[in-house]
Amino acid sequence: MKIAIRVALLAALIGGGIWVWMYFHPSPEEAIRRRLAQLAEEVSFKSDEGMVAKAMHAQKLAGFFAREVSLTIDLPEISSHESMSRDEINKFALALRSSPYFRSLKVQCLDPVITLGADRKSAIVELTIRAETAGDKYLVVQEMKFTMKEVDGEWLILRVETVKTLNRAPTPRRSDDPALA
Amino acid sequence: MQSETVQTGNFSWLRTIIIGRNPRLTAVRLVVIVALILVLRAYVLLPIQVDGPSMLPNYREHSINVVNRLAYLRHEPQRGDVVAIRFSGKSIMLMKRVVGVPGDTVEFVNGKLMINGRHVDEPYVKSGCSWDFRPPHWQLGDDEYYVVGDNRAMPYEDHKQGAAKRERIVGKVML
Repeated sequence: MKIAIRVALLAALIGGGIWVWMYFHPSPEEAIRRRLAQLAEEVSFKSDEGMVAKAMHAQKLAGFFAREVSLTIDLPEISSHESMSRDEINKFALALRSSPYFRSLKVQCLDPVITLGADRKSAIVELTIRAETAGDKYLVVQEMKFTMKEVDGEWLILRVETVKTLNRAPTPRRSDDPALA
Repeated sequence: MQSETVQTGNFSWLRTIIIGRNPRLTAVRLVVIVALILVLRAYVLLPIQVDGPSMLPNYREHSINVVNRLAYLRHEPQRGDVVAIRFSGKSIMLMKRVVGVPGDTVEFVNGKLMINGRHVDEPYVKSGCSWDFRPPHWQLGDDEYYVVGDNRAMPYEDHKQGAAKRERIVGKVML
């Protein structure tokens, strides 16, 4: 019996040691997952947030991105490709938090599928963003693709793209559509 | 002393109900049942909660349903099947009806569904519709299925629909 208890204690000790080691030395996949969870927390806000907190969170949010971020949005209602600097992201985040249309916002980064590059310092992350505001349910459920890179031990977002879950046919231009001709 | 005997008798009766006459056998049964539920949950039946109006009135908001993940092991999705379509994972899925299969052309003309240029009767659609969607020269690919909700009273722009890749179809909605 004593031996069994000793073995159990030893196993628990080894398990605990492995857990502590993995907590402080996460794999790139785990580090990215944690980073995305932090990103979701930083994007989310409550209605009672003060101006100082707004500015602080907006600045913190910008820190999740590279100095220059490429944004590609391809949705039925909007299509654009542009670059944004950290400063612009900061301003955008602050404007979003101060907008009278969004009293609060809750964002979740769900089901990240992480594909690491050969160097294990870059990654493509496909994930589902779910965002809801107070009162409205499911304001946005959108599949996204992030290109990330590890810089000085931190995973930064270099590129943000929307992913089409369902592919809609291109809206016919007037000249293309015989029915409209 | 007498009351003690009665208490022990009660406890024995309760114990028989809860853990049975053979506790070891009960434990084995419990482990098997839990393992079976976990395996079913992970690989066969996926419980879902309907959220959103796009499948009204056939699938009400907040109703519970089950997705059969093995439904398409032996055959491919058929027109009329209600399926679950994943995003990057299965935390949130789209619940839609398959109306077009690979090779089909899909159009909505004056609110009527047209497959390969022919009008298709849709008994599951209860609402009127004015969608007009006629993409020229657009045909579903070899691994694409056109999915759309039953609630056609919604504006076309607000209704998530389109061609889903086969790999995104998680399974068939059972109920």
